[in-house]
Amino acid sequence: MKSLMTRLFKGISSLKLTIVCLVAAMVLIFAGTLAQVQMGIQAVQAQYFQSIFVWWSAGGEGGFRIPIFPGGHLIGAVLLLNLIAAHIQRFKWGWDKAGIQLTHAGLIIMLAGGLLTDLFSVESQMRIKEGETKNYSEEIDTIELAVTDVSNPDFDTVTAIPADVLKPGKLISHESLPFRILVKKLYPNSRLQMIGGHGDDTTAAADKGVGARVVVKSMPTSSKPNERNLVSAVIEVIPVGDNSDKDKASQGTWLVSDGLASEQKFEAGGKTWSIALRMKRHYKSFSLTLHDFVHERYPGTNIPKNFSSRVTLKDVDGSAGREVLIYMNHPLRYGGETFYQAGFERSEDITVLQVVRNPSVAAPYVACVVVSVGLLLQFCMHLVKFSRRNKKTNNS
Amino acid sequence: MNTAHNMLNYRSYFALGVLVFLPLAGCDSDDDIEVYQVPKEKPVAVAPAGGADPHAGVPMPTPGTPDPHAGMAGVGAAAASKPTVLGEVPETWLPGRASSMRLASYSLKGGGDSIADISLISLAGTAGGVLDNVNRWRGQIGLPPVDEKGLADSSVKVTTPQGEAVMVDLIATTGVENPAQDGRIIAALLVLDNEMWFYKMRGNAGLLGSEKDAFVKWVQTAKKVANPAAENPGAQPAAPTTPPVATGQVEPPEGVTWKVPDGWQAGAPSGSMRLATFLVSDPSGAKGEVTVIRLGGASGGELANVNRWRGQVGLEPITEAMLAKTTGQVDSPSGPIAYVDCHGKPNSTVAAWCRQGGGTWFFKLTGPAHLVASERANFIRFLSSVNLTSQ
Repeated sequence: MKSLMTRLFKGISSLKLTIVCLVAAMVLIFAGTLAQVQMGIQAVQAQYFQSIFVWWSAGGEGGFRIPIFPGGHLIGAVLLLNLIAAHIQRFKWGWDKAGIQLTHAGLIIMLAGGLLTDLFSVESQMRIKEGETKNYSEEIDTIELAVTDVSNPDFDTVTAIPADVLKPGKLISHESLPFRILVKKLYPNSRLQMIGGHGDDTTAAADKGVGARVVVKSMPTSSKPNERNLVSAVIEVIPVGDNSDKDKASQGTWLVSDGLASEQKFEAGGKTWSIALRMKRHYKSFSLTLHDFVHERYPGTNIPKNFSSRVTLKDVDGSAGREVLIYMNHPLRYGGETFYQAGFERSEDITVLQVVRNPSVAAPYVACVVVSVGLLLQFCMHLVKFSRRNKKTNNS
Repeated sequence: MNTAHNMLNYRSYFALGVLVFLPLAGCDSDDDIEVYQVPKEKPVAVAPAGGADPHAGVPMPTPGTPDPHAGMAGVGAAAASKPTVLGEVPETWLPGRASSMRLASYSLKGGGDSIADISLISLAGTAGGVLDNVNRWRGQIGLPPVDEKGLADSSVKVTTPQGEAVMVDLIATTGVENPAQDGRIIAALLVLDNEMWFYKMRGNAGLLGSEKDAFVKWVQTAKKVANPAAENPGAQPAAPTTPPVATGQVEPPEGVTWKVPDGWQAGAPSGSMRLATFLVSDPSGAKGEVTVIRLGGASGGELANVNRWRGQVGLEPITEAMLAKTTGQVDSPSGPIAYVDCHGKPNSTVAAWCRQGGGTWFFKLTGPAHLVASERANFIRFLSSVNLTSQ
């Protein structure tokens, strides 16, 4: 048993495994880069780099899946374990080894930081119009079904159902909702079209709300960076009575879509509810008010030179706000998030801020410093050794 | 012995690390249903990226058939990109809220309480077809529906940069609830490959009558322009729409004199480098601008600047040898000023430059090709009057 553990430990700490991991990483990056042309960066990130395995579907979409290559997370994790194991295996404390130990420690911090960033960082956007105040950012590539109790005059109670839960045929129930939601259809990308009337025999998407006048057509998903897929779903609202009561009849079907803006409301459980399929929101404990957005171009051209947003940051508790100027390479850092000036809308009075929450933001900086110190120490010690040896040789 | 013991300890720690670490590496940040309370949202004047009420802007009573467009965000194509639409519009049209569905939006105030709402809306597919949409609008102002023949008799064709649109002018004949704000719809429908564009002006009948020519002009010139921030940083804008400032005069910088041709209006300088901006226009409503800029040093060199200007109007770059052939010269009180013509489509540029006092002065006339051609003589006269000797 002991010898098996020893052999296993030796294998994990071997230099061969390091080489295998590095080669696998290179192959994965090459394959991922090629796949990006067809799949788009988001899908490639998810399937190649933010996964344990790269899967191949036998028989096309929805077929039996076979793992064909280690994914980014697996390669990174094995490489990190390999580095830590090698460090332990060959660890001998002494000043003459301090440089190499520090260099290895720096690499470990960098790899661990990369993995933590991949797992826990969240990127979203905040679009604010001049004069507007916002206290939430939105993930533009992730949708959620927001079911909101709008009965209270002071606040709304939101039940946010993530995209992962919205699967065709899924019956969703939650203690906050006096009804269940049946996902009848889900369109990852769709086109909405008004029903023409006058003998138009197309079938409406739903029988309540805007959906009663709209036809939904399924479209192939797009992976182009300047395009968004229009996610739509047809849901059925099925109220539930108290435990002694039988389920009541359906309250009808509704079309919810990223492309519908009008509020859709219904009554259930003595409350008024609003439903919307929208970009996933992240509410903050503070708000930003945009006073002025400035977009300068290079003289005589339309090439953007500088963007800046003058905002007031105010905590929700009403404590005094402070004014901040966000511009290129000068983000606002607050509440564990970084707000970068990312762009603007066509009318030039709406700013777009990229909001990044990354708990391991310091890891690359710390790693670089540790590796630099380690290499410098190693070099200096070799230099001192060499000059001493040289001196000895000259003296003898 | 001690070393072996230490090694075992290290291995124990390592095994513990693996046990903790592997699930972390394999864990999936699967979201759960969240419940939270948020303060009531105030109505905002900005559409979420997902869309907005396309008829927001000027509130319109909608008697009769409910407008099926209300609340539908535009899906210009299978996946919606975000274009900007620019066209020639009068200064009296106040830009309103655009959204992913409203590609352009304006409001207009006339005498008394009269108002009009002008919009360009995009919907996917055939969005119900031309006849059904015209009949829907007719229903909104109390007019009976028409058939294909009736539509052909009551509509005209308008050529737009995207293709041919069908335009109708609908005037209510029965009682209108609020004549100051409603009673007439002038609209054009344009069928494209994957979408349909609805140009629509609705409001007070008299006000719409006086604005009809401007509306037709806008329909004829409105076209998609790539979002300069997101897609094409070098995109050439359509004719500038800088509103003129009230002064009517642009004072030259200290130590500089020039003679401004008749018809040039003072414009608001945009950006810190512009010393002066003039707006030029012609009777057709086309608008262009003349800008004066001074930069330190040689500012990139003649060939690089000329090729940049050529690129802005869709022309190929030229070589050093060709530069000498295409460059003209104007004599001014402070010496020769070089200029170059960049004839592009739909926009053109005449750009001039001269070195003075350790910097380079740039003078540039930009706008629709026909306007630049007609203003070129004035621009050359302006250059010949520029005196920089005190700089």
